[in-house]
Amino acid sequence: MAYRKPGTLLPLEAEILSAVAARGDSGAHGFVIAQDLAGGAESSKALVGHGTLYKALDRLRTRGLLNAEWEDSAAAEQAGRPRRRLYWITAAGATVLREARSAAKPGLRLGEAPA
Amino acid sequence: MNADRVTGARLAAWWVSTITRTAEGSVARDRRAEVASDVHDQLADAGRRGALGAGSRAVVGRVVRGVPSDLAWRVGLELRPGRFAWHLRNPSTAITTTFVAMVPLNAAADSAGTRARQLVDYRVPLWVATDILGVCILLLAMLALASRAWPGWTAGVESFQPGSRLERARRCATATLGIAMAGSAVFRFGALSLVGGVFWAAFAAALVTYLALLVVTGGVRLLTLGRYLPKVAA
Repeated sequence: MAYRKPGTLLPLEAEILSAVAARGDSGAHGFVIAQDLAGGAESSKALVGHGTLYKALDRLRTRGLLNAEWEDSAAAEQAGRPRRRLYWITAAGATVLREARSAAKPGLRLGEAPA
Repeated sequence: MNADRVTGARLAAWWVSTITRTAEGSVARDRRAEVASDVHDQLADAGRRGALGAGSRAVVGRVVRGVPSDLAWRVGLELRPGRFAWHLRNPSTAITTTFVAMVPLNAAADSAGTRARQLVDYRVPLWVATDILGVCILLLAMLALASRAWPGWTAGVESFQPGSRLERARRCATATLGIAMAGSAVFRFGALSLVGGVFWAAFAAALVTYLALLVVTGGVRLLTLGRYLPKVAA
């Protein structure tokens, strides 16, 4: 299990923030975040576990780094699927993500550990 | 095949409803709805690619990989302020959980030998651990009873509503098993062993009741199998 210093991000949290930020104003929902973490819709990499993903999202939301909102039920009904919970990055989240990116060593992906 | 009825979807729904059972209403609803939406999206995506079976297996993998985090999330939820009052109002969840932790300890303490060449007598720490859990159960049961007499402690706390009368009876029997085992472990030594004996008798009665309820539940499920089987086959 990964432990952290107060105020810092775990690698998974940094990747989630990055994935949500990349989706911009349209927001990101759980499945699309899981796909982005695995390297996109075409990737054959296994998706992150539900428990791991939603626990991390809950933590980021509680820390004020993400905003969450349930989509309009009429839109979901029209699309014939359950309502999605959409996430957006907050100003505080963007700042923390910027700091995490600048702290990452050059040549490494965000959240990647040096060999 | 309906994507929401494949094994992966069923397992995910069952697990999330199990882990959020007796959690705060809004938190539980949000988590269940989020997972349901995620699973639906994943299976719909797999269906579009013509790989619903693989999608279902992938969902099973995600459920399994998430179990440690789910358990940690649930423990964190239980440590939030106000949860203790909820457990006083609905004590069977905490009593049953502690009882489940106590059973293997009690069994290990009972079976720990006293061989002459043994350097450490493991029975002592095992009995201490068992007794600590037992005291916790008895204290919780007494505080829950007291909060019924003086409801000011738990005023405004919502009461957990089990799905059926059978489930309510099973929860009650399991909590009684926990209290009886705790009493028999705590009052085991010296002059108090008579009290422990009474608790053992209560444990035996609760066990018989619990087993009878299990048989009845199994019978009810058998009787409703005709309604259930077509769903499984689908």
